[in-house]
Amino acid sequence: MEAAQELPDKELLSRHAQGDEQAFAVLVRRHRERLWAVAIRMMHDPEEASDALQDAFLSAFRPADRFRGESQVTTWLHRIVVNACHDRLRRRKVRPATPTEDETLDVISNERLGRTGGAPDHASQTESRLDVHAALEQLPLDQRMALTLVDMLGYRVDEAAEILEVATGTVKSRCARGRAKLLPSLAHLRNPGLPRDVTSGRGGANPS
Amino acid sequence: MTSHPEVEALAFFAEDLLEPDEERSVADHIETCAICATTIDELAGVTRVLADVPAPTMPQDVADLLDGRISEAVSERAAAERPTGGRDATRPAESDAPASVTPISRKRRGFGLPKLFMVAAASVFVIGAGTAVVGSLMSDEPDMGAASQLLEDTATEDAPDTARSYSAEGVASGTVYTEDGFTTQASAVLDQAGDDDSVGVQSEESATLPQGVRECVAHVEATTDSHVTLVDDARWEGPEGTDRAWALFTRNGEGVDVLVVDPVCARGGDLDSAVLAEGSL
Repeated sequence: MEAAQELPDKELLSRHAQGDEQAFAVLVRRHRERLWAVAIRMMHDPEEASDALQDAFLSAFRPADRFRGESQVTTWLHRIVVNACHDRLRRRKVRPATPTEDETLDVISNERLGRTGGAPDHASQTESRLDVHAALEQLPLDQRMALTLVDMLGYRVDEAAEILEVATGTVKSRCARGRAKLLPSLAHLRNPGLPRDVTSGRGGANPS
Repeated sequence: MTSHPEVEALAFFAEDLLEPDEERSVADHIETCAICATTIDELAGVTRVLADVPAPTMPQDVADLLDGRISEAVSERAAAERPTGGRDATRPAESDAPASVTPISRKRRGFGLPKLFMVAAASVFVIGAGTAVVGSLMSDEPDMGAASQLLEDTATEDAPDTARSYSAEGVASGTVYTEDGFTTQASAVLDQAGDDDSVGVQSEESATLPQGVRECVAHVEATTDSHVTLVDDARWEGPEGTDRAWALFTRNGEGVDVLVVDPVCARGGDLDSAVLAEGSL
């Protein structure tokens, strides 16, 4: 399978379409970490992110949703993953969040930090993460998805626009609206060192 | 001084999205308003806060799950494209693929694509990369005796590979197993799994493979030297309420054993502590 590992994405997809049994798996392995990063940030819950990725890859596998070549394969894969997440988030909005979500986040955070001790910054980081997630949950899905791609994951506005199939101006305005809505709930989390020397009365990284 | 612009207007200003005259007035305002200038900084701070949220890397079990789902889709496609099974219908590329999978699926095709196979596609998850062998559990057709025998023989020969050499099928019956009734309940689930009308109405949700099932099955098989052929993703009524549990069906000679386990068994370790109930049907 060495040969397949080196084929370009488009070639893998066309081999897959012709019945090749390995090509699709090679393609998925190539991109799955990045797509996982998208899914976990959209969904916040590993199990839901995993479900969304499964939906997405099975959908990408099917001929009906097959790549048509007007964009990069990665963009197309992102679009499918984002749509799968969107579908699940829309359904989740209907029913209330389960209490286990917070526990899951704690687990992620512990794993991430590679320690289990109660270091103060660990506690505050977990807390701030929960705040971020809770705040994002309040946003309309369109704004949330734009912010997830652009602000959380660092995609360029034009990349996000292609993934979301909207104009770049739309991505920018969704991000701007989303940031404005998040500001009240996240202002206390902002990094202490602001680039400007203008601090409000609330600021002050120094306790003295 | 005029009133402060809306935060949203400031966010639009930062993105160069305002109309020229509006932009000019906001620009003039922040020249002299420290509060709004700070707000613009804080909006950039929102981006930083969002960018700083770490994303965990993909857990290995998710990677394995995705691999499994894809190879399952590949097998299904191969089976659909070659319904009469000219050559090895599952994995022609892998000549070293374990032998126990294909003989059974060929055999099953021999007597008309069995209803169980259709059930598997509609509402059941398959663990591993092969085709369903649940029929060998419950079928009383004479052919299946031979097939089961074959499964048994192959499986004992390469015991270390049993988890991958064939697949267990799964259902989510919604059963709440109880201490007193689980063997009866398990028999009912087994009967139901053979009846496409009842299994077919399951929701799409139930068709996803719960995390840990694969590990749990592998652990049980390794520990008990048995072969799990059907998994029911269900619940168990314990003294402190009901909790998720998996009923694992294994073949035992002519009969079937059922093992109700707590999902913690996916972590390995002492199997006995994860077993909630054990019995023969």
